[in-house]
Amino acid sequence: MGAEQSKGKITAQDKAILDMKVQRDKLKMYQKRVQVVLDREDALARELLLKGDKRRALLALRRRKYQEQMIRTTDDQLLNLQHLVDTIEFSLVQKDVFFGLQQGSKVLTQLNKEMRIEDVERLADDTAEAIAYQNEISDILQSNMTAEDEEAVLEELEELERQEAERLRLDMPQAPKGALPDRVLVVEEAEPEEEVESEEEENTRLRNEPMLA
Amino acid sequence: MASTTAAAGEPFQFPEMYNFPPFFTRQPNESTWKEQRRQWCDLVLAFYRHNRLYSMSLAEAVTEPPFANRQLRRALRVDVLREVVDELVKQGNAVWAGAKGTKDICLVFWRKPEVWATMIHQWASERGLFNTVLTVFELANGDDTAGQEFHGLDAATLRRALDVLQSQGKAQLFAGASDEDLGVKLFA
Repeated sequence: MGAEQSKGKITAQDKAILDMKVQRDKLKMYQKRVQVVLDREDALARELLLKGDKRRALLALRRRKYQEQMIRTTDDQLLNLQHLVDTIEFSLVQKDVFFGLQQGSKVLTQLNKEMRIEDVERLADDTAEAIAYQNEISDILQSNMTAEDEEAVLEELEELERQEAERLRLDMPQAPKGALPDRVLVVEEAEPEEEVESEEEENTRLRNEPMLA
Repeated sequence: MASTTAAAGEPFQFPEMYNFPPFFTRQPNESTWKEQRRQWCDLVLAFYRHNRLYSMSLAEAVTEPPFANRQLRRALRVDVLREVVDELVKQGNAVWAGAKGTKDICLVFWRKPEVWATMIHQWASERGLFNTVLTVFELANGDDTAGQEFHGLDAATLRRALDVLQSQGKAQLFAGASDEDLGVKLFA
C-alpha cells in the first residue's frame, strides 16, 4: 500500500514498545479484576460478621488482604515497566537529535569546502588592486585639471557665497534708523530703585493724597 | 440494557410518537411508512447516542427498549427493524456487521467513524502523541483518554475510525508479538 511506505515505517523498536505497552494494559486490567474481587470479599466479610459467622468472616478478610498485596506487587511491576518504556522512548528521541546534529555538521563541512580560505584571500587582494587602480586614475585626472580650471572653479564658489549672503540679508527685519535718546540710559539706572517702593510706603502715599469726591 | 437511563443520569426523552401504538406497526401506505421509518431512524440514533451504545443485535433488540414499549405492550417486528436499519445503512449511519449476507448484527454510527477519527487525531495532537506507539486498547480504555468523548468506544467502531485515519495516511496500525493486541502510531 502506498500509504504504508510514505508514512512511518514500523521499526522493530516500535514493536518492542508495543509489546511492553500491551503488557502494561494487561497488568492494569488484572488490577481492576483483583480490585473487584477484593471489594466483594470485603462486602462478604461484613455480611458474615452481621450473621455472626466470625470464622468465615476472618477467612474473607484474609483473602482480601492477599488480594491487596497482589495489587501492590502489580503496582511495582507497572512502575518498572513504565520506567523501561520511558527510557526507550527517550533514547529514540535522543537518537533523532544526534542524527540531526550529524546531518547539520555534514552540511556545514560541505559548505566550508566550497568556500576555501585561499580563494577568499585572493578575491580580497584582487578587489583591493582594482580599487587602487581606480584611485590612481582619479588622481591623474584631477591633476590634469589645470590652473585655469582651478581658478574658474574658485570664482564660481565665491559667486555662490555672495549670492547666499545677499539672500540672507534681504530676509532680515529692518532695524530703526534714528539715534537712541540719551535719557534712556538714566531711566534705566533709576527705575530699579524707584520700583522697590514697599507696600507700607504705598499706603502712606495713598493716604496723604486727597480723595476725589 | 433494559433501563433507559444514561450514565449521565438523565432519562431518555422519547418523542410523542413513541406512545402511539401504530408507530410500532409497519404502515401499509408507502408515504406514511417513509415518514414512520424516518422517525424510527432518528429515534435509534438519538437513543443510542444518549446511552452510548454502539452495536445492535436485532433479535435481542426487539425485546427491549426502544423497540419494545412495555407500557403500550407493543414491539417492533424484527423484519420492520431490519428495514429501519437498512435505511440507516443507506444514510451511512450503520453497517451490517455479522456474517456476510446475514442481517442480525449491526453497528450503529450515531457519530460517523470519520468524526471519531478526527477527535482521536485532535487529542493526539494536543497531547503531543504523534509518532509514539499506542495500544488500541489504551485509546479506548486508558487513563489518558478518561475525559474524552471516545473513551469507552467499542472495538469495532474504534477500529473503523482508525482505518479511516490509516487511509488518510494519519495513522499506522500494526501488531506486535500477538495479532490480537494491535498498536497504532498516529502522525500529524
